[in-house]
Amino acid sequence: MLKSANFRIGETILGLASLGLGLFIGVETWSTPPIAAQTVIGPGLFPALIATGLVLVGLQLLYEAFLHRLQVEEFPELDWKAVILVAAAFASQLVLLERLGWVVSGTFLFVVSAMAFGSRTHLRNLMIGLLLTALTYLVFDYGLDLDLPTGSYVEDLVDLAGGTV
Amino acid sequence: MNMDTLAALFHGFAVAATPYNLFWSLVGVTLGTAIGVLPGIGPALTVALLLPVTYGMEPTSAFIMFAGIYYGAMYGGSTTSILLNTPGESASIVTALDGHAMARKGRGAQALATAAIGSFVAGTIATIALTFVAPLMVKIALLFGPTEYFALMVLALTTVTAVLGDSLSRGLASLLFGLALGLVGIDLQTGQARFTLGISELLDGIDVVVVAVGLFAVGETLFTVARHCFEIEELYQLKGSKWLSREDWRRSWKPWLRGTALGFPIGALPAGGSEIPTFLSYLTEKRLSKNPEEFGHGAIEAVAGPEAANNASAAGVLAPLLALGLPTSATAAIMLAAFQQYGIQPGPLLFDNNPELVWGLIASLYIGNVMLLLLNLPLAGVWVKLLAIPRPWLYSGILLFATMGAYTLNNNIVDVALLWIIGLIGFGMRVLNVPVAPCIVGLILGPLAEQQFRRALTISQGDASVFFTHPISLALIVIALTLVLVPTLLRWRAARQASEAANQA
Amino acid sequence: MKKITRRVFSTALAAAATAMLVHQATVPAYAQEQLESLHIMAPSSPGSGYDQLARTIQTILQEDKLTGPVEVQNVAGGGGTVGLSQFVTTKPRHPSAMVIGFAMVGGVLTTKSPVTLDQTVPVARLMGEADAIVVPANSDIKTMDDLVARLKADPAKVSWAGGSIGGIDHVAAGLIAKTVGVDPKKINYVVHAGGGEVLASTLGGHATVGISGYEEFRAQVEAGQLRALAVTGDTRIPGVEVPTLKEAGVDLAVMNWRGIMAHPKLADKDREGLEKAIAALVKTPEWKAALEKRGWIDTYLPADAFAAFLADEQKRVEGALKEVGLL
Repeated sequence: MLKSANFRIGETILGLASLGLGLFIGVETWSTPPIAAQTVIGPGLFPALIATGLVLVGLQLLYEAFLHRLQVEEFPELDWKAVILVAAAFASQLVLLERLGWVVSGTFLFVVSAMAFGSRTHLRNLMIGLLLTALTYLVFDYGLDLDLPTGSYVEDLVDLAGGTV
Repeated sequence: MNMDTLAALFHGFAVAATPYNLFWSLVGVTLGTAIGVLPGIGPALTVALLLPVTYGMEPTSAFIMFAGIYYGAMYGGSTTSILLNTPGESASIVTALDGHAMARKGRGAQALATAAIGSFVAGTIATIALTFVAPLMVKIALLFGPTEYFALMVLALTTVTAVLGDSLSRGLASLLFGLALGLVGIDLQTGQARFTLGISELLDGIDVVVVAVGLFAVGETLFTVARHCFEIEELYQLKGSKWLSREDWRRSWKPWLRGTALGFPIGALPAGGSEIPTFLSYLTEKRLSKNPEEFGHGAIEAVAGPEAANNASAAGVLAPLLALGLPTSATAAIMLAAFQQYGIQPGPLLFDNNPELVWGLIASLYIGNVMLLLLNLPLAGVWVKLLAIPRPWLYSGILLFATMGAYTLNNNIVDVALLWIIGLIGFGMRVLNVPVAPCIVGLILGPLAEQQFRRALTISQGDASVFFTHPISLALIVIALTLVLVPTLLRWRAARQASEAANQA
Repeated sequence: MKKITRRVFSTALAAAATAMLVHQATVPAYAQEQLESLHIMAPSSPGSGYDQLARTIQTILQEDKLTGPVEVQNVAGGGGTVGLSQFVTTKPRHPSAMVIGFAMVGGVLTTKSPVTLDQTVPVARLMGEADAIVVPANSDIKTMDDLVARLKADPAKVSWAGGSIGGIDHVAAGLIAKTVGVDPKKINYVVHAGGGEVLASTLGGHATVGISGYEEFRAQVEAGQLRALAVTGDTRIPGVEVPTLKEAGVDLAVMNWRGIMAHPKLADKDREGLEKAIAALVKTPEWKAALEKRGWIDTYLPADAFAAFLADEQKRVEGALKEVGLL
């Protein structure tokens, strides 16, 4: 019965999330000061409707989770370690991308996520990551005149070396 | 009138078919296909980047190239949707639903082929429509005001019934989450910032593409990595022929035509856009299909229809642009700016003042379509090899691709952060078996519906009866109600008959 | 954005386009005081007014070799404030400037942006654009007087289709109401997302009047599908037989304008170089041709005069936004 217990936890999470989001939108909308300009339908109507909907659906989900007889559904087994690894590599982009630049941080993302997928050829992964990011960097920044970040640290380093890229 | 049109069109072909213009058309379609495949850059940005470069060019050649880019991007957009579950623009989100499911079943080549041929069929028919009925289309389009648009949004919202999944409450939670995401940003009617949490990058709202890529690509990557050690199934393995089977053709041709019929007129509406026809096409195909249970699991109709619809809408957008000087999409706005750069005034007088340009441009659309088909059909076979890449590299590549697209969308890290958060939510939804499509429908249609609803009531000064007294609006609402109520009633009746039968037994 | 020097056109978008680009990529011998390169931020999406101005400047500066290579970057959002805050807060590696305009002044106020225009340095005002007030050809409103009479009778019954809230169209509509003695908060202003939608709403007769830049309506006015009641500038638009508001009996002149600002950390030498380049730009025949093609009015003001104008304009816009009930 472990599986169905897990499922109820999931249903509960979903219900609570809907309820929470609904309440948040409701409170925010309620507490926003009205505006002076003449409007027939103000900016609050749709948020209020959506908040109501979320609260109702949240309650329904909780009802289904606790009181209703559920049809038991399979809750998939998950390799949480791999998920956390990929998620962390992705999150690192927020810090690394603009500092170390697309090539370095993108390669890091590639290598870590390939590792999470069970690949053990790290050196080869590194080469592929470098190739992909370098190629896209060249196409975007030089060919298309769009900005994939070079990285502020990289730029400082280049400045120190007295050159321009 | 029609004879004149034909003569003018032939003259246009004479203009467009010079080797010089053919060359620029080829450059345009190739570039367009390429940028359609790259995430984060659309045709609008590409044309903007090319504008200064084309400064010294013959205007006709420049526009032939721009039109090639525009059409090409529509073809290219489906590729990443189908193969990587990473839609590059909002018009190809619907394609990802069943297109990627087909790719997972080893039918990626067929999905790409039906998309390419459907795009060609739709593009050509819509271009014919543009040639002969543009002025009429535009007259009808102008009948649409906020009231009619709101009714159209309501109709499009019924699409949600086709993607809700097994559990009504979970589907609704997904829809409401999408609607809630759509609230974020400055309220256009009052200038009030809603739910921006003090982050100025959120003032313009959350980009649909970020949400779609987050829910589809990032969410699925996380789910796959979580499951990879428990499954050894050989996904993506190509099965059988690369070509469309007789059965595929039989199931594709009607959706192509219906998609075209939805795409062109809605594309011609000043606030129609390209997403709504793709939604409506999906809904139509599911409702008309004999096997609706296949939808969401790789039904070829669900790729053929929406892809035809988004290409036809691209031609539709050109109708008000050429006939009225009315830009109805970002790309059309840039093309309008380009007209002005050359000192050309698009509008009612354009056909009289610059016939060479207009007819050359229209003729080039026919030629570009053929070029795109010839370019994309063989490419489908090449692209599909991407799926043979080992999973660690394929999925890591998708993550790279998604990050790149999110960052280049607005050149800021906030979109990357959003992509990550929404990716995690998408993972959670996959785990809890919550459908993601309703969320996307809500996000796209919610804000549009709200703005049109409020505009309509502002103009009528609060009189809500306008939605039922305007004939077009009334008709659309009646259709929407029918679409929701009839299947529900039928199901209810079937269930009651079944239970009565059970009671009697 | 943090980025390394590179020439805008140094690489081709497509190999096929390379041939065309070569002449632009060749580096001219710069005079000493000339700007080596310039980075212009357009705080809106491609195709918008800011973007068009930025790209026009880019084209002319490069074609006439008034500066080194010029690069344009679009950062859209929040009425221009997202671009503004990115512009001010990042450390530029190269001379950078930003295009601003009337909407930016309002945007800073309505979004309560923590970053303001005072953190940038005025370089020049470049152009202006008058709004026009139009009705469908079959409307029974024939003149501005008719419109004023309707407005006075019941402001709610006159729906205005116009652009973004707090933008030039909205402010102009509000000021017209105020000038003729109608409470600006009571006007029935319907926000549309851009000129195209305003045109569609007006042509289709869904709104009573349309208000937007004259260029948005020009083709339809010339074809007789729309009737222009008045233009909002001080003077008539050259070659356009439409009275100004003042001529039509409404004592008001209000006009959209755009200009260019320098980064606060731009070295004095470079700022002077930029001012010189812009001063030279506005004298070129290419600039005059661009103004005419786009229906822009030459409202060039050099740095000091622009700074004074900007200070006044900020007060005026703030007042106007209070009148329409936005602040």
